[in-house]
Amino acid sequence: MTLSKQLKAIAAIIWFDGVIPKMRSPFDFVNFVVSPLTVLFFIYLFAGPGKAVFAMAGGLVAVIVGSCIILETEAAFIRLVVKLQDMFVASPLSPISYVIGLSISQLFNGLLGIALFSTLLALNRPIQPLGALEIFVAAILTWASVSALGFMMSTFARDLRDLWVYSPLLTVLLSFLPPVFYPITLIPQKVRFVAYLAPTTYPAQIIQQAAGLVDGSTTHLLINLMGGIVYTIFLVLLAAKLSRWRQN
Amino acid sequence: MKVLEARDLYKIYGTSIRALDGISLSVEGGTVFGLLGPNGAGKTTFVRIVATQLLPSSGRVSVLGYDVVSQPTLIRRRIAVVPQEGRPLSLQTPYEHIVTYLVVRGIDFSEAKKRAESTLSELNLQAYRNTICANLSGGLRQRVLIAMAMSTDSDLLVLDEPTIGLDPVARVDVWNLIRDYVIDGGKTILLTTHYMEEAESLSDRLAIVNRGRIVAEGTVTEIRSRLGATHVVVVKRSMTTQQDAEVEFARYGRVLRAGAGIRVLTSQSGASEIASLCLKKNVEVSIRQVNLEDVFISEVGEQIDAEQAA
Repeated sequence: MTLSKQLKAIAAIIWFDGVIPKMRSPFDFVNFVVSPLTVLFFIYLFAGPGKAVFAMAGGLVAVIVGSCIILETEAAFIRLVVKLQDMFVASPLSPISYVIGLSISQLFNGLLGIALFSTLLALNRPIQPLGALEIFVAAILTWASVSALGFMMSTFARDLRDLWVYSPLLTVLLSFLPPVFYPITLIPQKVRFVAYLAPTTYPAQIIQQAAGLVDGSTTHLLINLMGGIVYTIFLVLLAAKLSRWRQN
Repeated sequence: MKVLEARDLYKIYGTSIRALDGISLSVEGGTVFGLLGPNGAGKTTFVRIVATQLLPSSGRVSVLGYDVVSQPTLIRRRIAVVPQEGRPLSLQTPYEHIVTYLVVRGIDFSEAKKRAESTLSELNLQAYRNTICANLSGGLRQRVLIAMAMSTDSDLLVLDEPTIGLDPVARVDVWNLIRDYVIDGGKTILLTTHYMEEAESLSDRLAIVNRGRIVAEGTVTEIRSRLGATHVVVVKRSMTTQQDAEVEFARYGRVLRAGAGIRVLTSQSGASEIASLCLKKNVEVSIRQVNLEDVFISEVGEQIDAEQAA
C-alpha cells in the first residue's frame, strides 16, 4: 500500500478504536485522570501549593502513561479475544501502521487529563513558547516509549489474564516511583542513576525544567532530551523485534 | 485454476508437537473447499499458514499463484479471513466495522462507504446498521465478521469454523451467505468445520483431517464411497452383549461401536436383513444412508485404533 493509504489506514484505526469508544463511553476519560488527580490532591494537602505544581507536571506525564500503557491489554484483547488482529494480518495493512494507529487511539483515553494538567500547569507557571514546545516533545516521548513498552508486553501474553497484573505495576514503576511528581534532587546522589532506568524520568525532567520548576542549563535539557530520544528508539526497536505480526 | 496448492506441509511447534504432518491438497477456483476434522486436528494451523498469519516448518504453499513464505504481501491484497471464535468490538456498529476494515485495506473512504451499505443490504444487516455490536446476538455478530470479509470482494475467503456456537437458524443463514458468495461472485472459500452437516452442505470438495494428516479427500460422494457401503444400520441397544452383536453383524459389513449401541455399514439388502433380525428379537433399530459422519468415525476411529495397536 502507498504511504497515503497507510496514513488513511492509521486514521481509520484511530477513529475506530480511539474516537468511537470515547464518544460512546465518555466516563472512561475520568478513569484515567483520577489517580494523578489524587496524587495532586495529597501533595497539595501535605506539601502545600508550591510543591503541588510538581504534581501538575507529573500529572501530565502520568496521564499519558496511564492511557498508553493500556495498549498492552488493548493489543492483546484484539489479538487474543476478539481476534480482529488476524483479519488485519491477512490484509495489506502494515504492522507499523497498525501499531501507530492503536497507540494514538489509546492516547484518546488521556485527553481530558492532558487538557486538565496542561491547563493547570499553564495557569500556575509562566510557560514560554519554547517551553511549551519542550513540553510537547516530552509528551510525545512519553507516548512513544510507553506505547512501545505496552505493545511489546502484549506480544508475550498467551491469555489476557497474563497482563492484568502488569498495567498497574508498570503505572507505579513509570509514574509514581521515578521523579515524575517530585524533583530528582530529592533522590540521594548515590542512587540517582536508578531513576534513569525509567523512560519517564527524562520527559518529566524536561517538563519540570520547561515549566521553571527546577533550575537547569541548556546542556541539562539536551541531556534529558537525548536520553529520552535514545530510550524511546531503543524501546521502539525492541518492540518491533519482539512483536509477532506473523507468527513463527 | 488452482487457487490454493499445498505440498508436503509440516508445522511443528517447539521440538515435538506435529500440528501438520505432511499435508498436500489443492483447491480449484470458484469452489468451497471444506476441511473437516476433530478439535486439534490441525485445521486452524493449516488455514493460518494459508492466510499468511503463521509460517510453516517445511513444505510449500501457494495461494493465488504466490508463495506464502516469500510473497505474503501479494497474497494479502487478495484474501480475507474470518478467524475462529472472533467477534466484533462491542462499542462499534456493523457499518463502522466494515468501513474501517475496508479503509485499513487501502480502499478509498467513499468507496468503502458504498461497499459497506451494499454488503449490509446483501447480508440482511441493514436493520442493525447503527446498532452497537454489544447489542447484537451471537449470530449477528458472526455475520458482521463475515460481512467485513465479504465486503473486500477477495478472491479467496478463509473461514475458520464460521458457525461455531451458532444456533441452527443462524448457522443456515451463514451457509446461505457462503454459497451466494461463491455462486454469485465466482470466488473461492476455504472453510474449516467440525460439523459434518456443514461440510456436507457447503463443500464442493473436502478433506478429512486428523492429527495433522489428511485421511480422506474428494467430493462428498467420493468420500462416502470410500466406506464400500450404502447404508448404516444403527442398533440402539445390544441384543445380548455388545461383543455378541458385533460378531453376529460382522457378516453383513463393518461394525462400529457407537456408545451403548453399534453401527453396521452395509448394503441395502444387508440393512433389511439386519432390520428383520432385530425386529424379531424386539431390538430398537434404524436405517439410513451413509453420511460424512460415518466416514469420519470410520476413518478417524480406524486411525486411532491402528496407532493404539502399534
